Amino acid sequence: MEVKLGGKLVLAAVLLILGAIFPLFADEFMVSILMQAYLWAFLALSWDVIGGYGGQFSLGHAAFLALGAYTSTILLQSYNVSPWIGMWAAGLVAGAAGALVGIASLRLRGPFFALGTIAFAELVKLLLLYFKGITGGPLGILITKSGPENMLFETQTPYYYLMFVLVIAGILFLKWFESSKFGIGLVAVREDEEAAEGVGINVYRVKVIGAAISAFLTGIGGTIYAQWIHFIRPDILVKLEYSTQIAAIDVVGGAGTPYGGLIGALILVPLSLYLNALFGGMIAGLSIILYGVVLLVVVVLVPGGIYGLIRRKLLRRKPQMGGK
Amino acid sequence: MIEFSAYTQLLVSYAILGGVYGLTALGLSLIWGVMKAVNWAHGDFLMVGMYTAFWTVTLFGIDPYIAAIVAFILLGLLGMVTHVIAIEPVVEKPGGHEATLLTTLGISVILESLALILWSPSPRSYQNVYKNTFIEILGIRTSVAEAIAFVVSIVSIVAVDQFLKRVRIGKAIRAVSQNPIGARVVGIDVPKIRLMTFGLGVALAGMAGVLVSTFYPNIRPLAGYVWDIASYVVVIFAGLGTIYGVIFAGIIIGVTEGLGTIIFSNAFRQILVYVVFLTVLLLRPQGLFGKALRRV
Repeated sequence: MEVKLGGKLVLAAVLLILGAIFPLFADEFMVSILMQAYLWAFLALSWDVIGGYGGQFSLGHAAFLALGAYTSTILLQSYNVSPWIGMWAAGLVAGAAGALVGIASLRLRGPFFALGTIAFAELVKLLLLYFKGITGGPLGILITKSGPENMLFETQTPYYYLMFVLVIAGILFLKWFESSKFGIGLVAVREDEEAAEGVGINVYRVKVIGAAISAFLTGIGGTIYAQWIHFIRPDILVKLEYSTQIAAIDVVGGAGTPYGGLIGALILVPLSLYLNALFGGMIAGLSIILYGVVLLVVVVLVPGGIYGLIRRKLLRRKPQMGGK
Repeated sequence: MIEFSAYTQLLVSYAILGGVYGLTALGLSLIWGVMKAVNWAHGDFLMVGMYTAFWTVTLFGIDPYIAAIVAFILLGLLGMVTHVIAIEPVVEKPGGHEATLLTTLGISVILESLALILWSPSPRSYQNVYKNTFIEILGIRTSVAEAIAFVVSIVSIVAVDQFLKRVRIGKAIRAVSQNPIGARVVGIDVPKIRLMTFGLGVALAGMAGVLVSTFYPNIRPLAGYVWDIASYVVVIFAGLGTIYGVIFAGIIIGVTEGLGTIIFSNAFRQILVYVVFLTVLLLRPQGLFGKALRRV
């Protein structure tokens, strides 16, 4: 057990150091790719709270991403509030919307919930388009400020470190979360709602707060996404494609685990960006098809995702190690 | 009075559109009702149906209604292949429903991307006389294409209902839908019935795609979205596993859209559709006809 813990710590330290020194060796393009992988990993980790641990399959997380992005960007552009502060407001706005979705999940099970979240995301997109006065409507908002105090950087490297820290924080949060009383309650509700209620878990509270936490984190991701692309518009943020990718990354990596999102994103995001770069984006759809194929293959052949596969392999070898 | 008749005209057009929603929802309803699995690629199969119409009409000069038969067969085969790859391996495992959600989501992404790669994102359309020929019945003007689509919708729904009630395989499908274990006990080959159900559901989607393309000339890789959201709304509105329910639900939703257009601006109409959808979903998830017409 001690050896195993030691091995884990060494592995974690090596990965952390590799991640931290990566920008010193890699060029801007590579740094940008890994930064985007972290961003998607963070979104997938956020989704995992309600989608993985909670078992509520949301296909509307792009809406929380957009709500977060819009909140902090409006605060920045119209009220001169730095996104370092605005990101918390972004999280709260998205979290409030998440709570609404959580309330809906009390009535909607499985595919009905997924459909409800799709409709919810469409509604958010239409509302963002409709309230032109605040959101700029179909034209969106361009971020015209600059400077690190406004979370705007000249190169990719600061964004890289920002996302790097955020992903680590996300993983640590999930690790704490899954052994917390609340997290265990959420898993219990996923496994058997009636039984969970029977042992005194407040299903209403668990589902609503779980969805709110998930959306809160996604909203913060939305702020950073906006600060990175400098431009937001309803149709480029609220896409079913994005909601699907967030969920697919987490499922491929291993839903309901702290590492699933990162593993999924590290495999899928660079691969799809590389495919895009290789063909110059000339063949539209080529990078997205990857998500479909990998999702299909993993769900059919490797239930539990890649992290689940790794863990099963390790567990199978464990008796041998014990023998030595 | 002129205004009144203009409104009637508009509402009837939307009712006809709603009838076609019933057709686009039929295949989805069948698969969802029988296999308790949601086919997330439903809209993409509609899209493939539309492209089937486009290519058969442009390349071979075939009448679009013969293309509908071609699409029925082609998509039926595609549906069976999809079933073998994506549904059958996971449907009986624990968590099978979630797995089919994910695998059909994967199929959906693959079909859309393939369509983008093969046929580019630019919209296509084909020439057909039905779209531009109009008929007038009881003072209501409609294009022949829409009238035919509406009639085919009703005929298909009746045909599917009769197939499920009278034909041996149809009865087996109903048996599997109501009690898969019992069906197996009495000697029904459940996996084979599932394969045929999925194939039939996708074949119907393909045929619906062709009929939609005869009056909705906007064939593009993401064309499925418009119709699959409508199909989901109709299926949920009707309640799972009802066959006649989809036609009523389709017409109700079509008329609601029409009323929304009359009362509100067009931009607000779309918001209204989703608000109504979410309200129905939350207040009556079993659907409007869920109790009365529950059985397939």
